[in-house]
Parts: sequence; C-alpha cells; structure tokens
Amino acid sequence: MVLDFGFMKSSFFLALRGIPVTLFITVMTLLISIPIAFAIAVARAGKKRKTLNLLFSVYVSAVRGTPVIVQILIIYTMLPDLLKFIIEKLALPFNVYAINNIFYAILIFSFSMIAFLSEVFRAGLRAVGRGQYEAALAAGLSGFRAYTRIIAPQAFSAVLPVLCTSVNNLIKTSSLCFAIAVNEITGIIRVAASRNLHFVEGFLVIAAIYVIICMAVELCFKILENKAKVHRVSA
Amino acid sequence: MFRYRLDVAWEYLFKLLPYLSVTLFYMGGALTIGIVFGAFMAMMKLGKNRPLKYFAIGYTAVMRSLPPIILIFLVYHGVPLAVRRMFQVNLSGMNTVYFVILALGLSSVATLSEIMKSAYLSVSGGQYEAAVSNGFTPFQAFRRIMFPQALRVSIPNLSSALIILMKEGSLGYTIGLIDIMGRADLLNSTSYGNDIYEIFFTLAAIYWLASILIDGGCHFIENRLSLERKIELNEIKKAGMIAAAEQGGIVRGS
Repeated sequence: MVLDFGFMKSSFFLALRGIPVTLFITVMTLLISIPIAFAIAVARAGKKRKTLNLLFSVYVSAVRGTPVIVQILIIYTMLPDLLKFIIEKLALPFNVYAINNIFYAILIFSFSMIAFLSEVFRAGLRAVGRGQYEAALAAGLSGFRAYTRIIAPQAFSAVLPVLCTSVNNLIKTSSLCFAIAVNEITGIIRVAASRNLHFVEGFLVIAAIYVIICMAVELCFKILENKAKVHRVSA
Repeated sequence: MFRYRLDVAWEYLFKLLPYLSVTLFYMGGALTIGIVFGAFMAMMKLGKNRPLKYFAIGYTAVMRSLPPIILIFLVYHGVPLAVRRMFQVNLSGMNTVYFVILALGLSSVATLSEIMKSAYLSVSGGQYEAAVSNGFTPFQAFRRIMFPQALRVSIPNLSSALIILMKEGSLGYTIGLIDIMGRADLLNSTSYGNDIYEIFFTLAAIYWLASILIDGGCHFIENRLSLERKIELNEIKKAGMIAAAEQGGIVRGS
C-alpha cells in the first residue's frame, strides 16, 4: 500500500495537540464578535440611520467580497505597525513583537465574523419585529430590559441554524492560520508532513478531524435548538 | 509608519489584472462541474433510492465541514498519487489550475446540489401534477413549469456560491497556482515586501469589485426573470406612455 499508516498514526497524535488551539481561536473570536455584532444589528435596526447603515453595508460588502487570506495578509502586516506607532506615541513599556500570533489571528477572524454575524442578527431581529419592542416598552420595561428579556432570546433562537453554519465556517477558516505561523491543526501537520513529504496521509487525518469537530458542533447546535424551541417566533 | 503610494498601486493594478482570467477560468470550470454533478446529486437527494440518497447526504455533510485549503492540498497531492498507482500515468507536469478546478468542483457539487434541491422544493409539487394532468410529459413539465421558477429562486444563492468559489480559489496560490492571488504573492516577494500595502490593497479592491459585479449581475438576472417584475414594467411603460401623451411628449418636466 502507498499510504504510510505509521505516519498517519503519529500525525493523528500531533494534530490532537492542535485541537485546543483551533478551539481557543474559535471560542475567543465568537466571544468578541457576538456582542459587537449584536450591538451593530440593534443600532442598525433603528429608523433614520442612513449614514450608519451605509457605513456598515460597505464594511459587510468589503468583508464578504475579499478572500480571508488577503484579509489576513493585510491586517497581519498593518496591525503591528499601527500598534507600534501608538505605543511609541504613548511611551508604553510594551514590546509589540512579543505578542503571540494567536491574538492577531483572533482579531483578524473577529473582523470578518462581526460583519457576517451582524447580518445574521439583523435578520433575526427582523423576524421578531418591532411591535414586540413597543409592546414591552408599553408594559413598563426599560429599553435594555426589553432587549435582554424579550427580543434577544427570540432573535437568537431564530438564527441558531445560521449561527451553526457561521461557527463551522469559522472553524474551517481558522485553518488559514498557517499563513501567520500559528500552530493549530493545519499548521502542525503542514510542518510535520513537509519533513517527509507525506502530505496525503497527514491531510487525510486532519480532514477526518475537521469533519468530526464540525459534526460535533452541529450536534451541539441541534441540542441547543431543541432547548430554544420555547422562544421560537411563531410566524 | 504607513505609506500608500497611489502611483505604485496603479502600476500594480495593471500587473495583476491580466491574471484575473485565470481566476475566472477556474471559477467557470468549478461551476460547470458543480452544476452537472450537482444536478445528479440533487436528484439523488430527492429520489426514492435509499443508498444513493444517504450517499448524497453524507457527501454533502463531509464537504461542508472540510476546509478548502485541505481539500486543495488533498487533491493536489492525492490525485497524482492515486492515478500513478492505478493507471501508471504521471501527472506531475499537469497545470496546477486543473487541480484547483477539481478541488473547487468537488466542494461546489455539494453546495450546488443543496441549492438546486431547495430551489426545486420551493416550487410547490401541485404545479407539476397540474402540468402532467394537462397533458405535459414529465420532462416538459420540468422544463417548462418547474425549472424556470426554481431557477429564479436559486439565483441569490448562486451568486453567493460564485463569490465563495472565487474566494476559495485564491488559496490555490499555496500549491503554486499563478492566479491573481498567486501573482500578488509573487510580486510581493520580488519586491522584498516593500510594496506590500500597495499590492494587497489593490488585490483586495479587485476581489471586492468582482464580487460586487457578480452580485449586481445576479440581481439583474433575477429581476429579469421575475414574473411580477415583467407585469410591473409593462404597467410602468403603459403609464409612462399615457403621461407622455398627456404632457405632449414631455415625460419629465422639472
């Protein structure tokens, strides 16, 4: 047989070490981008927000229209320069070049996830409708309470299936971290496989790992959707 | 710390643009594979044959969770290996663009089969039965009744799928494909990273513009295919003519 099963086994254990990194990047990106994206969606939901709407639709279209790899290359070159400039201006005792690349990766992915998720949440808010917000205000809730108690639970449960796709896309996109030398699943195997040129074996292994992770995420969202059924918007 | 020279960027624009044809070539190739085999796979999903149905569903699930970079690598390294083993044919001299087309095609079969399936299901089955009971053959019913309606429903999704194809294809540069992204990477290394902003902002602008054009084009086609739109347009035309006649030929006064 052509495939080197010994290498497949060893690369499986190597790749296992990358899974926490991939998941860390994914979870941190979601923690940053979900609140910001929701805030943007709420801000855009109001009436008479022409400039704001135009600004964000340009941002969304730019993120949607350019490959992630190009975004990575641009932001990864620009951000350290920008940070260095700010730090030198403020004379902070802080070395820019000591920042781990993982944090750059998280910032870059947040940049694109915020755009996608803000669109997702906008659709969710539209599904709930403005009447409920007005009803909540009329019933004596504050604006903030109306959102946290009435609007947000319904909007979130309405968009759960789309959110699941977005999370899976994020996990898939995190494989591009190899471009900035982050040691997540793909990065580790790329380096290990280039040593003895067993690319096929290595990539078959991580393909299986990605499929398993994504299916696990889908399963989690299925369970979540079942739990969130109470909040389902009745159309 | 940050300099952006417009004249340099302008120069790079003309160095990059010719390679857009490579990008369009693999988009077209992958789309063709996707439409042809995606149609079969959509039929498998809608059909009654259990094993075929589960195969199609499983294939889609796997393709949905594979990162494009891994698919491209697997095809680039795996296909020549398999072909050499089975047919004793050496593929090492083959143009990389065909590997990219194959990799993107494999994933777009899954995407397009889902798009076609949901578009077909969005047209109510009663229409097909009505057409058949009016004397259409099953093929005619599909061709004349179901297909035009399904096509219109699927166009926004098709536009997204095309943009995704364009973006995923940019990863072909990792296996040495010289498309617009590969060319930018090459230019960046030959200029020792000095012109990185000029090159990559120009590249991003080209991709952005291309995606806006794809979106706009699909939107235009969608409007042209819309039945309501046709009726509306006729009414506007009629109203315009009446108004023009009333005002003695002047349609817009102020």
